[in-house]
Amino acid sequence: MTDVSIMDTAAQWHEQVTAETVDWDAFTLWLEADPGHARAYDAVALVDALIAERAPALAGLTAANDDPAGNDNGVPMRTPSRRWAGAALAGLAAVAAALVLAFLPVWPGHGEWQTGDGAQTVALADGTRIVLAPHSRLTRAGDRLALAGGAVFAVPHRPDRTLTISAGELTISDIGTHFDLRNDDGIVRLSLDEGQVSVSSTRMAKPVTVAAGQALLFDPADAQISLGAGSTGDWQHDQLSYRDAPLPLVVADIARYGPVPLRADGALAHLHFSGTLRLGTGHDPAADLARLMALDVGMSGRGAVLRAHGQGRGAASRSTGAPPIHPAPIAPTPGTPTN
Amino acid sequence: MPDLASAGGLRAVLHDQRAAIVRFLTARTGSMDLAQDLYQELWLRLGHANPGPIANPPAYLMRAANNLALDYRRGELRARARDAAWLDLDNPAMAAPDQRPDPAMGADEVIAAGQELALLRLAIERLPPGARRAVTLHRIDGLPHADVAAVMGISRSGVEKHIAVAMKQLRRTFWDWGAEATAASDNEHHSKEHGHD
Repeated sequence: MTDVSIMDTAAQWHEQVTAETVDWDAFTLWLEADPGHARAYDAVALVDALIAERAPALAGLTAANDDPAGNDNGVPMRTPSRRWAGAALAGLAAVAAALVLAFLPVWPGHGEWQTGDGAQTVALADGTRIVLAPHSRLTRAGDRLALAGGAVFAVPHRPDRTLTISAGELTISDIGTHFDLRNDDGIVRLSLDEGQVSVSSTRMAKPVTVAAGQALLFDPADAQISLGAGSTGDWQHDQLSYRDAPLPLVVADIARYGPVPLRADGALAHLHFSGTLRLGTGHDPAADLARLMALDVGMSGRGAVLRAHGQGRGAASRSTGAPPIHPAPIAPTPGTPTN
Repeated sequence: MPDLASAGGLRAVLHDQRAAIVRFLTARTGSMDLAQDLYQELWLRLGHANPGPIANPPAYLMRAANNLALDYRRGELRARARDAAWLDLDNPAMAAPDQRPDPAMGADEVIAAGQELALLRLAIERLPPGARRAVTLHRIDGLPHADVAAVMGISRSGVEKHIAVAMKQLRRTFWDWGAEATAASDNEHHSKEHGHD
């Protein structure tokens, strides 16, 4: 029947629209040729949009109803649906919020992910891949994400929409890139190894562009933002590397990625650390850090605590000179924007 | 502010492209009046959007117009779903407002969203097992074709065939749904402002 081939043609047009290769004049002519063409296109685009935005809710539903007969061939089953378990719990919320079409480019969907001791991969239907670090939380409402903790993002280039990620007081706008973002109680670190992103905040006079190979550090205490060289996602390779990083950040990372909770005595907040710490089986990053910086590590009720050890300094320094991570302080929002 | 500047720039492009966009929207929606309304809506929304750098503004605006037309179509279909669903007591919209997923959202919206999802879920459940598994793994769990092939123990071209079958059937389901809705509302005016009684 003809509407089968109309549907196939509509699907081809939709593919071209999605791939940004469509000739809009030719598409308009095709739509004008027959009122049925627009209806067929509606069906194609609607199915696509629905699947994309309902993936979290559907993953929960289809997993619960999965027909074992579909997997009777003895092939070991992966259950990637579990990725969405957190979102499926909030299934109703996902359904509801998908309706809020607040922004122009439709990149709909809703979700919430919280990791425990392990990392988790989050795959969005548009091709975005996010590896959420341990003890981290990511929420999504349409094309807006919010992160507490750490995550590595791989985002395909899509000119029709801008993915924004809020981390503390910063908003990172992404245009197709690969980067590592960490938000530890408002102290935000971003390092980029592909593409570029724009970072804005109400406390910055104007957005800052961070390019591939660069890292950004934002401290809400003084709204100071600095750029330097970066390394992306090293925690995925069981190591953490630093160049003159403030000790509290190093400790926050160990607490997140390491085996035991760790905190540092407040008196150590001014120290900086350079070096690489190993994570994973057989390594104790807290003990290594303590040894490298000649600090003591003791146990308290809720985990390990780093404390000063006599007058020893070891590799610790008091941030003298121009630290590599602060080569070029960006104008940190004086009172009013210049224009 | 830079976003205002870029919104202003986009509006200028929108103005330049007005004829092409309205013509497209007319073909896309089947109504010249609706096309004008959607063009105005596009104008308004550009004031709030902060789209970042845009490589090809005319194409971006056509895409945005296309998305808007789809949103409108979904709204029409939901309106029909709302009318049918009030008596469904299992529906979350029957809960008190503060227990709804999003208290700001109207009860009828919750129902309509639930029906859309229910229809999609049903359509997926009715797919042949291989097609269902492939489309679930690829489109819902986000696995690439190669991974789906590995999980299912079939070739990549087998995966592609399964997915093609699944998408055809799902589109057919929603085409039928849309055709029913259109038939049911044929006696009514097309635009939302002139909705029934």
